[in-house]
Amino acid sequence: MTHILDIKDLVTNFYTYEGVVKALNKVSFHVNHGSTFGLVGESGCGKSVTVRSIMQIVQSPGVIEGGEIHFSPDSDNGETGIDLLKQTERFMQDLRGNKISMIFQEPNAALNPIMTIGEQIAESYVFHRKNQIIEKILGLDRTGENLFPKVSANPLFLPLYHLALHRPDAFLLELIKKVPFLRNWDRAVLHTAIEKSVELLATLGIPNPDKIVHQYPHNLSGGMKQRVVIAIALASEPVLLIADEATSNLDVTVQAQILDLLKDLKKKNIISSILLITHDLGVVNETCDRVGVMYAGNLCEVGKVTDLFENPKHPYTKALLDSVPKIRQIGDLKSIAGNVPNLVNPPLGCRFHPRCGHAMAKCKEVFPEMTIVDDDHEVACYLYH
Amino acid sequence: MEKILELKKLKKHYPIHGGVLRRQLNSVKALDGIDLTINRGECIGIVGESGCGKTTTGKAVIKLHKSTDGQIIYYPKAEPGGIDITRLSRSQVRKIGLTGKMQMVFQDPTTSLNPRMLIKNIIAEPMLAKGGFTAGQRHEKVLELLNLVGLTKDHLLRYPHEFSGGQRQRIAVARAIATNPELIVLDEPTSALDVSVQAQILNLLKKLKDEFNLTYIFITHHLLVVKYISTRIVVMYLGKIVETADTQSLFAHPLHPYTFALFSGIPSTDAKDISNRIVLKGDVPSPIDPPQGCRFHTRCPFSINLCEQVEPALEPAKDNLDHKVACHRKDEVPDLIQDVYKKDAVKNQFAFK
Repeated sequence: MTHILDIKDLVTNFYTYEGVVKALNKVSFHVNHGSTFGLVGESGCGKSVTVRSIMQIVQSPGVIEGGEIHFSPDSDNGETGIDLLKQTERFMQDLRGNKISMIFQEPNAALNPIMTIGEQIAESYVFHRKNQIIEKILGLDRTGENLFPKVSANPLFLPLYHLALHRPDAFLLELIKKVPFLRNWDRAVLHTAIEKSVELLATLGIPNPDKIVHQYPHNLSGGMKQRVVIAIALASEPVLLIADEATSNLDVTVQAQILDLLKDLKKKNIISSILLITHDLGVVNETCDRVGVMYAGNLCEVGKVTDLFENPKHPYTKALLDSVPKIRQIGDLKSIAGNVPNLVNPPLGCRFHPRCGHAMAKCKEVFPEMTIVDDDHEVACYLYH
Repeated sequence: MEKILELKKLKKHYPIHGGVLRRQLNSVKALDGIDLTINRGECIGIVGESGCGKTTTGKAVIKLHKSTDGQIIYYPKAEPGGIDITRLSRSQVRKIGLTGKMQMVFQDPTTSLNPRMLIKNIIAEPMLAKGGFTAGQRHEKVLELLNLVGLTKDHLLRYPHEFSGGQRQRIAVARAIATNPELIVLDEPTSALDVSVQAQILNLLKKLKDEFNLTYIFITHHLLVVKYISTRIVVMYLGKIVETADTQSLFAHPLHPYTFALFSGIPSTDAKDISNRIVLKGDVPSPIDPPQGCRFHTRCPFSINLCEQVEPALEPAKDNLDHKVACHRKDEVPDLIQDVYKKDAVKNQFAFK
């Protein structure tokens, strides 16, 4: 299996007034092509910071201080891929929402309340696929692939389309954007993109997509909004989809719908790889192939879902699994004593040792390296060194 | 078993005003006639999707808002006849000694604790409201309560922001049990907490219940939590109770298709449990204009003509009188579901789409 994403020793710190919050402490893992990787942990353990570092959208006091993020979109070539941390912001802008897409937790906050659903999905097309749409409009596209179905533009503006295709940053285009009646000369681009979003919504199982595209987010229910967010993320056919707590705020029945949809999309090869972040161990068990458990900015255990859930190695993973109520719960729930440490002054050595029942003298001094305990199963714990 | 509270045809409609004269145009039927008996010392879990009226029930029970119609009857230990408390004013409630007998713990401990009050004042406040405690007694009681919920006297002179989420919820629990209540309404007490902390709080609640013989109304959307803590479960859908039974028999033999879909939707950490599931189509209809007949028929995979016309009553199942269900086809549902699963053996996955 080749890796679509390979993260090595990622370090992200937040420079706050209280001190340096060491949010990520040398996190390393990889995501295979065509698989779903789950990242679990309690709040504040650095799950979201990890994916925000991948997308390079860490918020202000945060700085990515070290490490490598190798991204290789094609599955067949054996190259190591491109190191995202060495790329320019311009490159990243082109990548975000194009090759890598992200779904956020709160669909209400992710959607713009004053834009229609269609416009919001079309935005992604227009941003990343503008040239293709214009070629189609001008009849230059000879591939024959019916990417954008409806093509019609005001013939008066055809020269402008030619200009936009060959010199997108021409001064004339800037000028025209300022003229009231001519401002919307490229409306055909938007219309074609909206036509395409209708198709996309239909594949996501949304009833009456041609009506929905003209509605606003407040007209839809929570589950529908989350589907729209997924549609936006899938608009430009990403190779990697990052879902940051995509189902956490939804009801059980709606969550089941969304998880089902994600599985279905994977089966139909609409998405190839998913990086799923959640605090719900059940969701991971149902959807993921491999899983990484995080605690206080460290990755403590990585492995196949079946291995890790049946045979957890790290004391934290064990404790976390024990603290979840189960369908066949026998006896009392075991809780983990104490609290998650403050990451301004994290404990020395293994960050879990103050709450760990197996803590040894060594645990308090040096952080344990990842050791391979089984086929594709790594643990950062001295019990297995 | 001794009753503590009885709800009879309880209704709560939130009015929608509109137009120039702010007339009432319509109403949100958050709670549309529920009957429920709560016994002393039991933990009754109310589950359902958001907007089904779980919280409204909890708030109506402790009279945080006036119910539109129906009765809430409280049975004190001394008076087995019961008192209708639905329309009582605050002074009347005080007169019959009900103040502080029912308490509530809210979902988000960050917003339910006053950020400008010290912990000792927060916990002592219900005792002040009830009256009859001297300052010394209050202080002693606060110390006792802090120990009970696993905090120490070092925490007395701190503000809520100095605590973690789990500790804040402990403080909220301490405040709720300050006046020796008989009934506590727990409105999603663990939803805002992490799993490891959730387990701590659940164990604490269990311990307190046994120690003080409390009665809980546990409102949550998390089915496994409710299974862990409750003795009896009420499943609600769109302002109505669709099924109620004790925890064991409900999980063993759910009779309502909605309950079944809810259970099959639980993501489980046990690899063996991943099996076939019923994925319901669509969303919960609007409670402003609930569907005719059975409210679930729009999403129900087994709906027949009768379901669209007649609303089913909450009736006991044939083999278990404590297991009540509101469904026209309640006797057939287990077989129907079995049929679906037989198909699964071939298709491996079945979704009602």
